[in-house]
Amino acid sequence: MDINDLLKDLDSRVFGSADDDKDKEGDILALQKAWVSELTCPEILPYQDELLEQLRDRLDLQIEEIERQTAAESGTVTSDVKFSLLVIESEVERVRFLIRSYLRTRIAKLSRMDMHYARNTYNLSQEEIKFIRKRVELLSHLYDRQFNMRSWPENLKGLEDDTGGLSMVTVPDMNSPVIFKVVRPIEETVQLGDETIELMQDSIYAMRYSAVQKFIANGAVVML
Amino acid sequence: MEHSAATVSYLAEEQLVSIVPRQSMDSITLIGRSMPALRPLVRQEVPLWLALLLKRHGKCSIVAPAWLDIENLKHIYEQEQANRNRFSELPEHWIETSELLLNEAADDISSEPHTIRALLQDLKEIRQSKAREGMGQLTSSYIQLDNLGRMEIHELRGFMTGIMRQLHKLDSFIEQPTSDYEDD
Repeated sequence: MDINDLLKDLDSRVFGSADDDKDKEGDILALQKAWVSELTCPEILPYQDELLEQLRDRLDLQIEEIERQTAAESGTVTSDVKFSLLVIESEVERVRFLIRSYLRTRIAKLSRMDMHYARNTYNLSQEEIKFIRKRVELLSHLYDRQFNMRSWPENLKGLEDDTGGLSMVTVPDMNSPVIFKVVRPIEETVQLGDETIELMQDSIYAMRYSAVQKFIANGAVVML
Repeated sequence: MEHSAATVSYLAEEQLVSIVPRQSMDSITLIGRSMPALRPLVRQEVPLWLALLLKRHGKCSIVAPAWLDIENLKHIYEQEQANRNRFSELPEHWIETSELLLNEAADDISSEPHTIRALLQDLKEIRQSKAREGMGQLTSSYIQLDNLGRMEIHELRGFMTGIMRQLHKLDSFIEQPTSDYEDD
């Protein structure tokens, strides 16, 4: 280890880059958690606006860094620079995958339950609201024309009809089972029919979503 | 998108592992946890994906996790046999991690990778058969799955949640007059 290295080590300790790093790591972990929750929960969860914005900013910085290094070193790229670029690029790909998968998971759920979410937009981003409105509008047009519904009696036209107890609107099935781990102590018990269940820390359960919904929101359980 | 073996592996690659660098490298600022400066023989912790990347380029060896050891795996297997009602403790990503390490860093893991592989396979099988037995006790309300790994949970997910759904439907059908499930 030479003097430069010692100074660099000292710098990073004095200027608290380790704490900074913890925050950055925390953001990625938070998005991973939101991603798995989105993959496993029946309903759409709150859009991670701030988190995504921060990660996007940092993604842009990394891409600039790749361009800068590639331009600066063109011709005489040392193998060290090449490798550090490879590391940066690999991580950029991983983060891009995470963001893309998160957004696509939400869009897939939105599309499956489009009529429902066109009316219940509270957990959606502005872009998602635009998407869902446009989608429902296009679908109504299509049905209108394809089945000539325009000429039908008013009471048969609705796409949100639930006469006969058969709803045409697909809604989230809040009773569908989810699998989760308890990561913080939970005082409250869970009532499932006649059974009262105490949720033990570090235990893993499969249980209907509606029973544990609030513990996901407050971070006491994580979805698996 | 759905939860798949690929998403489970992605999460496994994010966990930290110890490496022993073979050469010096400057630190690299990353979006998540940055790569620390590397010095030969000075242990560092990095995410598994980065450890594998360094390994592929001959820049480090990976320190085998303590649990991935012949004696320990034998011991866990004995525990699995002794306790038919519970699963022994293993890291949540034990299947994914051991596969990745044995495929890409077998020389760092053990002098007998074949023995390790065989032991892991035995463990997988005994735990699978326990899990199958456990599914016999499935009810519509809940099941506890302590110490099952992420990949094991993934493999059970479709089957298990499918049955719970069916049982729940039957319950609410039987209890229909007083049912409070289907109100929404």
